[in-house]
Amino acid sequence: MKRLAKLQPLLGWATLLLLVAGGWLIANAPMDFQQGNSVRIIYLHVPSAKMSLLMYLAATACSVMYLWKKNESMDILAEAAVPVGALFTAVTLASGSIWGKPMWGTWWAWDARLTSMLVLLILYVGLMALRSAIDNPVKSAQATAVMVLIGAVDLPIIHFSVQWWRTLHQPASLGGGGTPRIEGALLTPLLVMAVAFIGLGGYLWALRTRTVAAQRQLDALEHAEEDHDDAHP
Amino acid sequence: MTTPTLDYTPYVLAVYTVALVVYGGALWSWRRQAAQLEQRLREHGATPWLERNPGEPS
Amino acid sequence: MILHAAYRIAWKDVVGDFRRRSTLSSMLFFAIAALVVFQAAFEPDRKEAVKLLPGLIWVTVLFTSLVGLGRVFQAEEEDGAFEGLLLAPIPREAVFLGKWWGNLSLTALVELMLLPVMLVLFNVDAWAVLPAMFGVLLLGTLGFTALGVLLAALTQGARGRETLLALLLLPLAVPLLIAGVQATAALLGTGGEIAPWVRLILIFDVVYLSLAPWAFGWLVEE
Repeated sequence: MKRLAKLQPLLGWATLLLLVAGGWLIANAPMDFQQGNSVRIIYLHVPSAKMSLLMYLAATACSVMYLWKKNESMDILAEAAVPVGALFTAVTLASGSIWGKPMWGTWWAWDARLTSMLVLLILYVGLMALRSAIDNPVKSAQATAVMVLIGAVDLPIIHFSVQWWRTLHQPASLGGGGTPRIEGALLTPLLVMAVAFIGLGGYLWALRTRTVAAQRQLDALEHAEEDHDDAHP
Repeated sequence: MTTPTLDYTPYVLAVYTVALVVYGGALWSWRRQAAQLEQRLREHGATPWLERNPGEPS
Repeated sequence: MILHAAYRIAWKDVVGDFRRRSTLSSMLFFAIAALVVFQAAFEPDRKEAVKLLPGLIWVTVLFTSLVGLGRVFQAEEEDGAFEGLLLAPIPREAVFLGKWWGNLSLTALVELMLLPVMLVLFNVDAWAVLPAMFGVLLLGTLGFTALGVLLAALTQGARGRETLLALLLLPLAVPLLIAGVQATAALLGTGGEIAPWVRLILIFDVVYLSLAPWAFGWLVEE
């Protein structure tokens, strides 16, 4: 684990560099013929959306490993991934909503992607609430890990069912709801931002991991000291 | 869809401001939190878990 | 053997409920109270009522089942017998199955009584499709109660568990709600085709019925 502590600053600097490069590319990117300046929102929205799912995938992988091997470090990693994912999801929703206002004419549309994202956010919040509501650390870890798995199974069903609902029940009335095709000069900044956001996610994840691990160590230490004080008054 | 007549710049600025505030705020507060907790750990004379060598006892 | 043990747990829960905890009547009257609230809030005329009915049925059932799910493990919590139940020399899957059957029976009974009451209260003349509506409702209840009992076990011993249960369960039930409402609307003649929605309910059932017993096993391992 010592390697992670050494890696973290490196990751931070690389991310910063990529973000600056991405920002420069975005500022100089040509405007889209149809969507004008609003295309610049996509450079932030799409990487955030990818990361919100990627962090959930990471939490799922760690939870499976935890349930399988009962290794506490996997539980720490899973716990640390949740708030990071929630952060990305919140930005995805906010930027999607702000993008929707000029493009669709409304702040919100119940399409498959937005609905799944909203459910994902509630799921992240529920996971944090569940984690903090159970005092027994082993029980809380197990319950959260199982809940992560249930969510991982449910998310595709939600996406699929909302999509189905939209096509069978109310054909898209908003028009142009899909992500526009992006090519050439517009693609490079998107790729740079996607890589930069993977770095940002990794950095934030490492940061949360340090916090969660330190918090658990502190709790254990203070618990031990209390017992010690009780033994020798 | 027709050629845009709307000026999207305020929306673009809004999105980047939100992102900057949310990501920047999280980065700042989580860094602070991690540093504070690890500082308290060192005051207790313990090595943070992440800086420990593999196999080192707690 | 597994089925027999599960059957005994379920029987004990259902009979015990009739004797002293009366979850059934609290669920039923909670549902009727919800109907009064809906009536007061929407004041539907006959035409609107037919359109609203599928949504009202499923929303009422969803919230009502939360009342029942909050009490799935209550008997064991009261006597501190939850650990005992887990330590009993029967497979964990049997414990889950028993708890699920118990909850399923109670929820299905409530649904059976609720449907005619709803048709009467909202003045909807759909007695001909009542059995089919109950069938769709029951089909959705299979998977939903399995997920619900799993989450009830998951939040066992958590602070503010009832709220937590609702927070975790309701978003996960979105696909079921969509499919159930559309299927019921199709039966009432206000929706489209019924077949794809029944298929979606079946997918939901299969996924949760195959996942829940295993997940319950992981949950209670020490």
